[in-house]
Amino acid sequence: MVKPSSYFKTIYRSVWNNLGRIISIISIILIAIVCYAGLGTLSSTVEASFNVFFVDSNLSDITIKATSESGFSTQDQITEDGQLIYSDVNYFKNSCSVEEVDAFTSLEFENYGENTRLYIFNPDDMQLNKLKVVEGRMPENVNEVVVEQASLTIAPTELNSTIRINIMGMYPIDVTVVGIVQNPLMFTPDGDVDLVNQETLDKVVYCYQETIPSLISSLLPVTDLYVQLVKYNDRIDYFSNSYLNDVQEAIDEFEADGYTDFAYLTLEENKAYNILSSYMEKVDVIALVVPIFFLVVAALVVLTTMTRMIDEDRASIGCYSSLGVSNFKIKFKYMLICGVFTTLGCVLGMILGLTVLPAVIYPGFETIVFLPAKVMFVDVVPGIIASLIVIVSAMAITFYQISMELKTESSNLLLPKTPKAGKKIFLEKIKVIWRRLPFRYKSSIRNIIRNKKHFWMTVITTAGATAIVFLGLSLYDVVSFNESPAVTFVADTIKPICILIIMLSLLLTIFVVYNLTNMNIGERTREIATLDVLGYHDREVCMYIYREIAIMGGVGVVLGIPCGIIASYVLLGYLDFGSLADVQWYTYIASALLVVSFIVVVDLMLIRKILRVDMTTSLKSVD
Amino acid sequence: MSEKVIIRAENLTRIYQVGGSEIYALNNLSFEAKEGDFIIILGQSGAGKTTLLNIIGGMDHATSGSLYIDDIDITKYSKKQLTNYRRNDVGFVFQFYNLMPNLTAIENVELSVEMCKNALKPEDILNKVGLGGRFNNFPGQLSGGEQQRVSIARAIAKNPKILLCDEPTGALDYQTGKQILKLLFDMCKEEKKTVIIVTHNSAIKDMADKIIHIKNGTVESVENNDNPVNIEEIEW
Repeated sequence: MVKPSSYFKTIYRSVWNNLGRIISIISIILIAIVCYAGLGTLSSTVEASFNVFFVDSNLSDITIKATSESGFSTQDQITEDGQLIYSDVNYFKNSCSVEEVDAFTSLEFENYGENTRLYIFNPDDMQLNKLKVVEGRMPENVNEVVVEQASLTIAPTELNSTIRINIMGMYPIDVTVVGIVQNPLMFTPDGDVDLVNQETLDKVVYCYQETIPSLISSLLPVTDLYVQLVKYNDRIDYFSNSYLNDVQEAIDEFEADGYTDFAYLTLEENKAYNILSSYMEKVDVIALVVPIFFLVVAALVVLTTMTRMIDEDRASIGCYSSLGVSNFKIKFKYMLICGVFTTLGCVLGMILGLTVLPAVIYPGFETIVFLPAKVMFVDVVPGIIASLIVIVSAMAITFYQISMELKTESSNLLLPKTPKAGKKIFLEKIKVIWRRLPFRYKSSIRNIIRNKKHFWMTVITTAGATAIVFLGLSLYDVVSFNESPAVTFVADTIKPICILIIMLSLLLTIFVVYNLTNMNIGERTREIATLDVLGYHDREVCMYIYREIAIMGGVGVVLGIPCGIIASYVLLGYLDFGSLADVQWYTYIASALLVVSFIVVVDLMLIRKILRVDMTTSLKSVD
Repeated sequence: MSEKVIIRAENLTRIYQVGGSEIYALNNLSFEAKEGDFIIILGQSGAGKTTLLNIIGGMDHATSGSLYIDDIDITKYSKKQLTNYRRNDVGFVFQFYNLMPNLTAIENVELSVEMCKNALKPEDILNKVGLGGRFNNFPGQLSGGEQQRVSIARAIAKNPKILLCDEPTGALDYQTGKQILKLLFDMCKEEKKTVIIVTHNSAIKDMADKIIHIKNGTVESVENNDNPVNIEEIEW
């Protein structure tokens, strides 16, 4: 029986001897999980930050607008039979679904060529939709006003400048702008539209009741109600369906009571909200789909690495088996190694993905929204699901490999593995091509076909990387080609995500190709040494190995470009901006070249290993 | 038989640093060989035979001493020169063949002559070693003896000055081994190549022109054999 201590010694030694490979596995898994955990938590982080912002601003749930010229009635009435009929305002105030109501007047008019909206209320009297002072201060006397902050459509106003407002074209007044504010209901830079003509607003001004000359103010009706509903929950998710349904239920209630003449505007009608939530939906889909590539490659890397580890341990597995060590114990060793290090990679990936990624990408959303302070909200679910998938498939792969190995009789395990025989390959039948090929290419092509796992791993990785790089670069092209604001928003946020994914996939390519080539060279020291003995110069020996990588990489890149084109086409359609026609011709070439150059980097990194093969030791014995 | 000295080793020493100590694989070894000779180097395991062969083959470097191949001291060669030396002037035959597993017999030979200056035609050599019908077979489809023939063909096709063989029959059975030795001897005499065979099997020494006994990294004795015996008549 194998003593427990020596059993763990062998595990420890296996780990130590394979440290480089294990670090590769951890790194590749880390990259995949960083992607999933990080991108998957983005929308939650954005929404959480906005939820806190909305609660702090005491956001209204419904803006009710009067459709008649007289606006909302403010006086209760008593009927002939002595019944009390609430005024419009009091109806809402007294409704048991309603927590808070603010009533005020807003006007939209053409002010010296600028489409202007004027809010008339006393900020001290308002409970809801607290204006946030971005610069300056709130008005302190009747000659002072504040304006909404500049955006894509709203022109900036200089602090302490005087503006002239001609209300309804009847009565011009001069006021000083003492503050720049943000209305919590307006949180995207492309501004709001006026309700009549649906044209963008150039200016939004907030002023006291008293600022308006009394002549006019007495004529002005109550045009708007901000309504906040009673909440049964402290934590409101403004982006959830249940919230939106609750609001809709309240509206149904009001309409059932006969108040059908008003326009009920909820977050669903809010342009900013729609932009944001539909955008977050898209980020979620991208976050789910794009990193699948990383998961696939990670699984393949585990497959290749564990296979090789088990192959190399063939003799000792045979030894243990013949000594009577149970299959379970033998399997357990590899399952343990695989499980521990895969989990480690996932844990590290989760930590990095949930902290670093949102911190880096969140500010990118500044161009699409006026960003509230980031709330640290970790949505661990995407990361955990991805981790579970990785760990389970890695363990399954390992289990399969070691089970297959143990199926062999222990006596056969103790013998070296019969090397794969050379075989005629399909291409040889095409004599026209085959005859013309210099035979070093024949050798390379045969080698490639002989080792299918290696071939598919390299091709999938390079094709995927090329596709992703192309995707990222083509999005760039679309952005510079289309200067429209709508495109710029979306693009500016996608940019950091794109850069991240491009960098990660190039990094992944390096790792994978390095790992594979490293193993490949290790398996072929005999061949390399034989070439040395035959008098091949260093460059020729290196090319012998690199030719295969070049062919496989070439196939990968060639397959990757069409995949990238398809992916770009789908993504651009889904995000609803730009088209493939905007992608420049040099982007196609650049994507291929970028991936190829990284492969070349790997080649250079491994030159030393090839040149270090020692002729005298590599050719001595059969194993 | 030519009188030209093709190999002259003078005080060849090869020291390995192992741990803290020095191991003298070769210790002031000197010998001479004439062009066209069939030479057998005998010695026990660890005597230094393979080390000597590796140095003559340009695969290893001596720590001190000189080795004149055709009057050029190759111990002074740069890495590039050594590579060219292996390319053109030396053919090596290993105990375990070391053929490229995914190249056919003829391709294995082509591999080695592709960049040689005075190479012989692969088809001719393969025919000469008796593999006329096996050009397109892979090593996996050949027997041990056949693989070794390919290996010999690969070495000879380069048209080297010297053919070095490290235990060429070590992995083969008695009969096949004898056939290989005969082939090597015929190549030596017909193609006029100097052949050096390293072995620990002293029974075959009578087939050689010269027998060098190596012990403890140095030459213990040298026998010159004026009447080499046909290998087919030697039994062991």
